[in-house]
Amino acid sequence: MATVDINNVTKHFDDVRAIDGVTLSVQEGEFLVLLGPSGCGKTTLMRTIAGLEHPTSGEILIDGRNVTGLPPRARDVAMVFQSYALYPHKTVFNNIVFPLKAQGIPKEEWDTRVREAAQVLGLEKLLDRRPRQLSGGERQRVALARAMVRDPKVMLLDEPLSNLDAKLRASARDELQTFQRRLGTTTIFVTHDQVEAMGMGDRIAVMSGGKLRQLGTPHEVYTESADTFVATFLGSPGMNLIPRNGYLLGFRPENFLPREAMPSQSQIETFRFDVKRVEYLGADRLIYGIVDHAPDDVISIARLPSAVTFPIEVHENHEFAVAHEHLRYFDADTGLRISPQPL
Amino acid sequence: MNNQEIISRKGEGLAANQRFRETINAILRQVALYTTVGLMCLFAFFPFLVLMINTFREDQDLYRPQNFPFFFNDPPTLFHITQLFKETNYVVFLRNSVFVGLVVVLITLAIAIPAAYSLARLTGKWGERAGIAIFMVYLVPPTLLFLPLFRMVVALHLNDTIWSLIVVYPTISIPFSTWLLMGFFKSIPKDLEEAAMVDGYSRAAAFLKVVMPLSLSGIIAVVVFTFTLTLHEFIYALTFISSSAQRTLSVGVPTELIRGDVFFWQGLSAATIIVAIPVGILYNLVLDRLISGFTMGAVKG
Ligand SMILES: Nc1ncnc2c1ncn2[C@@H]1O[C@H](COP(=O)(O)OP(=O)(O)OP(=O)(O)O)[C@@H](O)[C@H]1O
Ligand SMILES: [Mg+2]
Repeated sequence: MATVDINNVTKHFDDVRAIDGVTLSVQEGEFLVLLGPSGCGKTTLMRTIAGLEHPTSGEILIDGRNVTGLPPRARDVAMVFQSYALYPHKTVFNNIVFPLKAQGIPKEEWDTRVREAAQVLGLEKLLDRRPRQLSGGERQRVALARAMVRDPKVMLLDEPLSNLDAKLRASARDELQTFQRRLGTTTIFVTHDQVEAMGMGDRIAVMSGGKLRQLGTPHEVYTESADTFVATFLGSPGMNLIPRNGYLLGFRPENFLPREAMPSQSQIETFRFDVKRVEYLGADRLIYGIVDHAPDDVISIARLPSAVTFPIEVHENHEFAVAHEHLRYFDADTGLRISPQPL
Repeated sequence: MNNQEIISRKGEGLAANQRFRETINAILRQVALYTTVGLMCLFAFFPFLVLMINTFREDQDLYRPQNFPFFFNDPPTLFHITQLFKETNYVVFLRNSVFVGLVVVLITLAIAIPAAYSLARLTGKWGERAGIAIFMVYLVPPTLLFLPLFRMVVALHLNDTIWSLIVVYPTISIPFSTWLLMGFFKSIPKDLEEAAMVDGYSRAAAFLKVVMPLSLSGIIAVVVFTFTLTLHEFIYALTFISSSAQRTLSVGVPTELIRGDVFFWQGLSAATIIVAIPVGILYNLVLDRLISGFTMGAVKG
């Protein structure tokens, strides 16, 4: 268990700013999720923490010790690569035991520790196989076993679930989380899947364009998004933003309901909503349309749970509403959250 | 018997007929295949066969034109083999060749592996260009180089010793091997080494424990290529060395077993076949690795 402090780290590749001044503290035993779109610098940040990249500036502290100049082997960090990076010429057993050999752990312990890790991840039957004889899910578990077997200070997981099908993914997510809770190892988990991030993280760090946009609990980043990027990146679909009186007014699709479906006593803001398209998604209905007085290219979306059976037709101009407590305000230029403005 | 039945019987007959034809075709295909393979094998093996037979033939058997050439018309004899070992420097040539071969292989590996690895991994886009430039060196023919290299060998006081060959052969083997190994190292994902480094190894250890085992085919290809090169190289071996005791097989055998216009055919045959058979067996043992070694280098280089 350890803390990780990232102090104003930048990493440039020629003229690409892969990481652009990130400051971030990970607490002891925390499960931190690094969330961001493809190419935003998540992998680069992980590699910098692991010591595979040297930051252009800034420093990295693990457990309070400055490790910026240290090679990976001196950092006691384990990493699961996006590609898993299993050693193809070694059996599963030898893959898992490989880090133990490097740590100078006595030979007598190898077998017990490998079997322990294998058992936790359900790999006992596969120990003699080679990586190419494993399915994607099994490979991922081997990679995890290899990372945890040595009980590192910090575990870095770079989109370890991205190669799994939806079902396996859900169960792997579960396993991984229980597992991390049990070990209590400080873990940084990279993903570009917000559902994964929301479900797993103690806290979520949202990145974009090499910058850290917001750090907070899943609830915080979702309901109190710090800027328009976070607001629109999270949620499916993301937050509606409507330009108004020089600022941006935001509200989430699930809070944007037909007037008739709103509880009558709450304070609401009403909008005339020009319905363009209706999409049925089973559990939900998505209504696409244009809010009155909004520019034509600003499509807003309402997400009605199937409990709201109220019929809505295409081309209808219907009255929709949002409760005041669900309205968010953003600066039109910087995109940053601002205090409530006159409506 | 109604019509239906007649038709279905007829159908069965046709089906049986067809099956019979298919079986015959399959057999014919097998026969054609194995005949071709057999002929190819015979073709490839023929020189060895002739050499093996000639080694044990008496002079008068060999030289009489009306004798069937691929057969012992007189009883076989060990005379020429004994002569080869007792009256020529053959054993010395053999020893020299093996020694030169092994030392050159070691030098080549020691230099080409680190060179290829650094070109493949550490120098960015210039690595590729440097690799191509190095490969170009390999394309310069020895016929152009033996005179200047001879001057250098003399300057090093190595002329007329096998050490001259040990110094010069790596100039051919290293460029080619570096280029070949570069392809190998590039085809191994960087992630693997990095995983090893995160797992607690230094870059050197990661290289030894992960990259080397995965490049085994390439390394075997380099060993085979280099050793073969030293075995059959002729120009340098001929020009740098004049004393018989320092010669290697490629020059020693023809100079000692061809005197003027007298060819000691049986001795020549024996000298060749004694080297060819162990080398052939050795290569066969690593054949799969060897093929993947050369083809992989070719595609990814
Ligand atoms: N070695 C490199 N040389 C040059 N540019 C690089 C290098 N590595 C990464 N980049 C660039 O840095 C940026 C961040 O890359 P990174 O791999 O960290 O993204 P990511 O967030 O992990 O994306 P993904 O979700 O697709 O894995 C990208 O624009 C990428 O092109
Ligand atoms: Mg990535």
